[in-house]
Amino acid sequence: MIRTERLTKIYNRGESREVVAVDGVSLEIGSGDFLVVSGPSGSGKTTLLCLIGLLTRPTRGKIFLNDREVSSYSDSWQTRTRREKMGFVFQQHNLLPQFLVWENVSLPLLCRDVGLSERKRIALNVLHRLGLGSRSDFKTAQLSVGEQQRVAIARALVTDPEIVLADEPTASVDVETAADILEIFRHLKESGKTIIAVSHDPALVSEGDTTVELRSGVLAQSRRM
Amino acid sequence: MLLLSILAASLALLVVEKAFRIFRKWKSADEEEKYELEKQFYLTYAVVYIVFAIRMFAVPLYFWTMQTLVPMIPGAMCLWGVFNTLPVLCWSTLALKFALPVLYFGWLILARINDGCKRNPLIRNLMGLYIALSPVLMADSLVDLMIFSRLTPVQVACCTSAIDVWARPIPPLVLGISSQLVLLVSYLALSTAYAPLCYAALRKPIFEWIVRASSLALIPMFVITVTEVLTPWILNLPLHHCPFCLLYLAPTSIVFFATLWFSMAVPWWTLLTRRLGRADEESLELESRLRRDLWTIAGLSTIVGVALIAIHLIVATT
Repeated sequence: MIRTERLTKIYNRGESREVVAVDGVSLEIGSGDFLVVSGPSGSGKTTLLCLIGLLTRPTRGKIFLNDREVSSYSDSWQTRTRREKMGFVFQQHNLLPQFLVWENVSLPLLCRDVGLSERKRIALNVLHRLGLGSRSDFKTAQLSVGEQQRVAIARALVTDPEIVLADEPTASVDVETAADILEIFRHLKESGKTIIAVSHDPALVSEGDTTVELRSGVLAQSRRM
Repeated sequence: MLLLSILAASLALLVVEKAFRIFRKWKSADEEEKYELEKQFYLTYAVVYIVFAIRMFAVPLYFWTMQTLVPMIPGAMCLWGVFNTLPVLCWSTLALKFALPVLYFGWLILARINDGCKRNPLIRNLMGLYIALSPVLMADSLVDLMIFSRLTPVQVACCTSAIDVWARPIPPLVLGISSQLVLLVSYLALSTAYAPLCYAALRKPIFEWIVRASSLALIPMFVITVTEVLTPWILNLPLHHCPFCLLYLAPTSIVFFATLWFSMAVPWWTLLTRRLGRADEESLELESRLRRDLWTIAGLSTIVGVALIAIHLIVATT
């Protein structure tokens, strides 16, 4: 489903501050796979996730999605691909504090021109599934960090994407919430979603079908469970 | 009009430098640089889109505004009189009001092809064409600015004394038959033949050039037919030949003017898309499909235009 070919990302190219964040990474992620990318801080995990999620463009190398080379697609087409096929869970949640929980969750549907009542119905449905039904009319700032993370996951899932990309989804939550989040990912895996997660968390790493370890942007180890 | 002209000229000027930078760097840029240029392109593209939309909207607005000035100009009875307040500027730029939208719309057609492609293959061509058009675009806006800032209510001669009293450009009779009738039948016959030629151009590229040549011949013929036949006959004023009076007194005639303008413009749009709209396989496919649609619509709009002329004449004579 997703394939990368010698993916390289260099920041500040040609300058003295040049950083090779990802260096020649080739991966193959099948449909329904759960890939966990681990590695020390600054090893290029988030950059790799952004590259696969078409949030940034590689300096070199290619990304294939369903055998189509999408890394050279125009920004507007990449946006369309992201909107239709991907759901993102960011480490910092990136929720809008002025909006209600269900409004935050329904935002990706707005980009798909779904009507208001339908948006609300779908968002509430996802929130119920994640045990946040009672929080739907709260403002996100009124929620605990763990709940905010679950709202972020709900937002990623509201469009029923084929691929879920998560950046350290359990990093900023307590052990109990981390277990809840792991449970959510387990369900996603069972439902056949392709999941790519970046994590230090050994519990999450052990959930993956495949684990890859990055060191200084280079693929150091790859293990299939 | 003044505000729109200022807005269009300012916006056009604002993005020329950006367009030039994208045009210059695109070819040699690597993927990352292209990504940055692409982001600049979207902004430039949006501005250019607005500028062209303004300029195209300004065309009917120009004629309408001029028409509203008729009561304020002593001696003017229609647009002809208003144009005579600044004859050099107004008459010399009249043809541009019909020709420039063809170019502007052509750019928008290319942009449409580019939008449909996954890799923005026409960025360089779009920016290059915009750079080439920008002086014309500025001049177009400046001409409007000059006209509307300098118009004064001077005494003018209007259409009746300016056009009707002169000797007609066609003889009264040709081989004993009314030359008006000969001209009308010739024009309608040629226009009717133009429609199947458009459909033929769908299949064989050689016909595209025949249609282009025909459109060049039909344009002056249309102008003469309008002044010498259609205006006096549709208005039931045998000695009156002013096309502006036709458009004002029989406003439905604007529709056949518009449909025929469209069918005359299509051959030039297809030339533009053939030359600049085929950068890779995907754009080639899209361009071919779009060109087919354009030719089909051109054929249809010619038939509609001719039919509307016939209906106008029938209604006028019954």
